[in-house]
Amino acid sequence: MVKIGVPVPVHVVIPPLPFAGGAELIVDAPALGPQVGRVVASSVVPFQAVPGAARAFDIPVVVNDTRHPLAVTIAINGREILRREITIPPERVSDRLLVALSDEQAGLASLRRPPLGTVTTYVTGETLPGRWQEYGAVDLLVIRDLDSAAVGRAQREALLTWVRLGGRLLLIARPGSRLPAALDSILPAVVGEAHAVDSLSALSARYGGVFPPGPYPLVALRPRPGAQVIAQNEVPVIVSDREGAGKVTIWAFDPWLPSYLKWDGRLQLWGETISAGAPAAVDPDAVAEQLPASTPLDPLAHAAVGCAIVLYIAALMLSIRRWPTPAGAALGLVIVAAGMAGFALLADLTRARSAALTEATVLQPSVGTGVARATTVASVAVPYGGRYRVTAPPEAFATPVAPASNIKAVVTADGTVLTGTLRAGEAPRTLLAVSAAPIAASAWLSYDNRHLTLDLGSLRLHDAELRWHDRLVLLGDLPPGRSVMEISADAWAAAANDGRTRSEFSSHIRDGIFRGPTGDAILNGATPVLDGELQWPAPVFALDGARAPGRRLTILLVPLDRR
Amino acid sequence: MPHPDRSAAASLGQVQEGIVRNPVLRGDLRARGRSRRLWLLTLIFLGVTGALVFLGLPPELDRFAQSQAGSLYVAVLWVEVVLVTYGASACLIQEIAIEGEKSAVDLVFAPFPPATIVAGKSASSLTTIVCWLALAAPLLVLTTVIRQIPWPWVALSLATIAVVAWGIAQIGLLYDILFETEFSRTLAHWGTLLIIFIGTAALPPLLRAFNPIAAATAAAGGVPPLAPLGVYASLGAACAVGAYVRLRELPGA
Repeated sequence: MVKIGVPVPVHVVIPPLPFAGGAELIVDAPALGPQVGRVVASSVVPFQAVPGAARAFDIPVVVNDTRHPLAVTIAINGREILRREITIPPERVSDRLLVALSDEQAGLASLRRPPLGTVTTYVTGETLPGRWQEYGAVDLLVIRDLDSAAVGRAQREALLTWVRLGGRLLLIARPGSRLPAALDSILPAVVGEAHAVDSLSALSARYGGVFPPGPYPLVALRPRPGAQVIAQNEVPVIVSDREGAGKVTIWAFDPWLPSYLKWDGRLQLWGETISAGAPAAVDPDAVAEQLPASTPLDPLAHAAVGCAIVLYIAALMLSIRRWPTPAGAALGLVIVAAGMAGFALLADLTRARSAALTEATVLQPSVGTGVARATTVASVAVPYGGRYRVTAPPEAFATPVAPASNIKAVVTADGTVLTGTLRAGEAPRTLLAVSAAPIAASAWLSYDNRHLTLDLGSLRLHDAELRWHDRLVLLGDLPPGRSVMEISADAWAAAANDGRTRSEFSSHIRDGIFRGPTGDAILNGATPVLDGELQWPAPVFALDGARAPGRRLTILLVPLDRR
Repeated sequence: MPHPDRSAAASLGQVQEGIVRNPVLRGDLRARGRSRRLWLLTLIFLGVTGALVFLGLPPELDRFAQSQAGSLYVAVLWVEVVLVTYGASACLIQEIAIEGEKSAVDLVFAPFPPATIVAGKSASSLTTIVCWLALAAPLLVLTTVIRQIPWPWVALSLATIAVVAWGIAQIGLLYDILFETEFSRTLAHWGTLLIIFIGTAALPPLLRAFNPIAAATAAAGGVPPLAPLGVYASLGAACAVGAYVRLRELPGA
């Protein structure tokens, strides 16, 4: 199953091979990019081949063009050993994906039909991703049958992080089976014993359709405080609650049972569960557009080159004029040789100082979970052209924002290394990294919009502002800890005319966040947000060989609760 | 006590005598080594090249076409091919009169055979061209290393400039012998340069490759301009033969 432009994990099993040595698993994904001609994005996992040993890898791949097959190649010691092309059938492509863990791998085919148009795939616990970012394409994860022993710690952590950062999880409570204990902390209800009801009129009334004659087997649910409940005669049937930016739902019935499969209203219920509560996301393209298009030439390098040229010509001409002798000629040769070496060094230095990496990170804390989604958009500029090598940490999923053929992502234990080439004068390459960061910050606005309560933990926020639709309130610098601010009614100003004093870079990036071209998910949402600059210690991307400092900006974006 | 400049010149002369067998070449090198005018010409050449390299330092941004890559490096080569070609031919035609250097016609009355005169003049011209290119090489290194231009391309470009400039300079040698008045020499020289540098640019695409600037551009992209190189080398050799024939016909020869 594939969602265009979103990373999906490709599970590759390499059969035992009679070769040893340095090997590479290469996945070439066709893409539609701004470049002329066919674009293929390459993802590479290096490994050590051992004769007779099978290997398995999960490699996240972004598929942008399903008209051409995905090519998986195994190369050992630089020689291609195996190659397989995987054609992606159109029926496996959708912008809505449902992943189900169920022993019974049927019953959801009807979700493919309009208006849902959802592609369903069945997986087992062993194949759950070990990195939360690999769930990026999943709209709803349904857990019906899950062997907890088959799920490793990394997989559990990945699942919990994904839910907290906006994932949607549906658990099916079945008589005689237990929900995974690892998920206890995020469950909206405690699961009890099996029982049955004679009618499910509450579901019929809400979602339409008629149930076949009962009774209907259910599992008792004891909702936790604050959870939303749909009940039949005070018996909870569906319980759901927010978990950070995500949502967890428990159905007290098994939709795979014939009595539920015959219910006409089930598509309505599935549709609501799949599409409910998608969190607002930062549009990387919009932020990338705001990153600087070039690096200004370092004035120091410019001055050094100017002085060197003048010195070289002066020394040479003086020696020619002053000593028209064989010794003078030899001195001239020495000056030329020294000039060659000196100018080559100077050129290298100037080149290195012109290559720069600019990055903007947007942190979106997930309220009450202590974790934030970190979206980093960076631009790599090599103004004179040439190769670049950018490293992202292992916990981040890194990929180019726009597909490009001459870029290769090598996934290693030390992180993802993105290498490529830029022509002289070519616009900077933009890269995206998505990771989770331990951030505990929350804020809420009173219902009368007059009081803003903040809990920034240990964070200090600079040039903070409160945004809602196209209006904002400038808050200035905010101290760490908990504070309450009074917002006067006339403090709200138009976002386009806020008289701001912050840096141009910061203004551009915030404009990119709030005025993205793809729907302004954050700005147009009903939720007001608090944003400001953070002094974030560690850069996400590192550019090899760059001697220019490159600009960095971290924006904290806190969706406000209303209390 | 001998004057230091004179003793230095004498020392240079002794070394040259040992190395350089051709007396015309030896005399020309001695004169050119001491010439203020040539020194000034070299300074102008290096100054212009240095200024261009310095002004071309900022990267060219927002260029999308691959064909435009490295244009500033090519611009430096264009300037070099124009200046070196003009300088070399102007020195041979006596448009830039080098102090102490005798023209080919004047040397007919000295005890040198025409072949020695032509070979010496040709060699001194080539030496001057190579010297200029070598002196400007560090400046070219600056602009090529910064743009990661492959070394073989740079070497090919410099070789192309040397061959083209030498070939055209030989026309200056021929004109120096053919035309008696300075005005007609200058007129013919400039006319020829205009035809070669501007006239050939107006030729059909296939023949446009013979334009020295087009040849330097091709070499800058790593494509050996074999046909132009052959044509300019042949032109130089033909002019040298023409100069030799004409010198033999002169009464003093």
